[in-house]
Amino acid sequence: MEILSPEEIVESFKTALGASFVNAKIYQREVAVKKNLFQSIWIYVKRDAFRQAVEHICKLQEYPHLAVISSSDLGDSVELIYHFTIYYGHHLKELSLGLCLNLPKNDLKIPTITDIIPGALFTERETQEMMGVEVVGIPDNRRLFLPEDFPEGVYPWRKDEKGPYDMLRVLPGREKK
Amino acid sequence: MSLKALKRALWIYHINTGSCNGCDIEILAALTPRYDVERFGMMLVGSPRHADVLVVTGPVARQMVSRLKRVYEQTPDPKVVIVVGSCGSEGGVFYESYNLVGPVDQHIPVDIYVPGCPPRPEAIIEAVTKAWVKLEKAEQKVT
Repeated sequence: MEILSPEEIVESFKTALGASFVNAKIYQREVAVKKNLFQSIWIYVKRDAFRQAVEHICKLQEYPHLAVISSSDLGDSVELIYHFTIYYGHHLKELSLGLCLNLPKNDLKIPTITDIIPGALFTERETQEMMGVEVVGIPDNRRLFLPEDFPEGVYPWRKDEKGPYDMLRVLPGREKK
Repeated sequence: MSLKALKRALWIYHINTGSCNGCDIEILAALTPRYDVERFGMMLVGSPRHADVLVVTGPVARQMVSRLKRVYEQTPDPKVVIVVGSCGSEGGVFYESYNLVGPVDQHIPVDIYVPGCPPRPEAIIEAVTKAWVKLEKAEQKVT
């Protein structure tokens, strides 16, 4: 496995994905007394080439480290970011890679990556129950953190009308918001 | 209140109803040689049926309500319930959360509250000594 620089990694993504590659950003900063360089890459892709992008990361390093899948509600769309870390252990050459996707709210579906990375099951289940994004082909469809009698259709991380506003606890002496 | 010989060593059962584990670490720290509650003979037991004191931490999450009630009913009388941390007293930082069903005293009767986030081990030891005094008085009523 050879260690590439961030610009070379971005070029390899452009040639592998072609038209579905939207944008890329490289963020650099000097840290601490010795002014070492801390680098991270953010890559914006479209949904149809998403699985190809994850397989391309597995070509850069044989077992990349998926930390978490974070999601945020942006009004009309939901942005999902898959946080990877590659080249762990090589001094001063570690990189954080963020794979960013933008899903429109009337079509919230995304394919699963548990056949490439089996450990992504927990964080995909959490995204599914907390944000309402449907993960197509997930092996285990149960709820993870919420209790079973939590009502359907209420998603705690949303900011629109499907948020948990009815389930909030009202302190004694105050009114409901 | 004067501490004569402790006629009965208290056995403690600890239950966590969804807390962040900060209060659990402070309870464990009170049992280490620095603050040393074990010199009185107090120890953590593995079953609520052996216990005299029930120590509850955490705000009560929705999944833990029925389990908390069952553990309370399994502890034999006379018993003392201590709530450690501000999450159990009034909700703490999670006071408006969607998964919270009230502080602990809406489900089981509580004797002693220890506020703090997390409380110092010295505060927990003072709570346990007050629990001992209460337990002795409760025993005198039973016999």
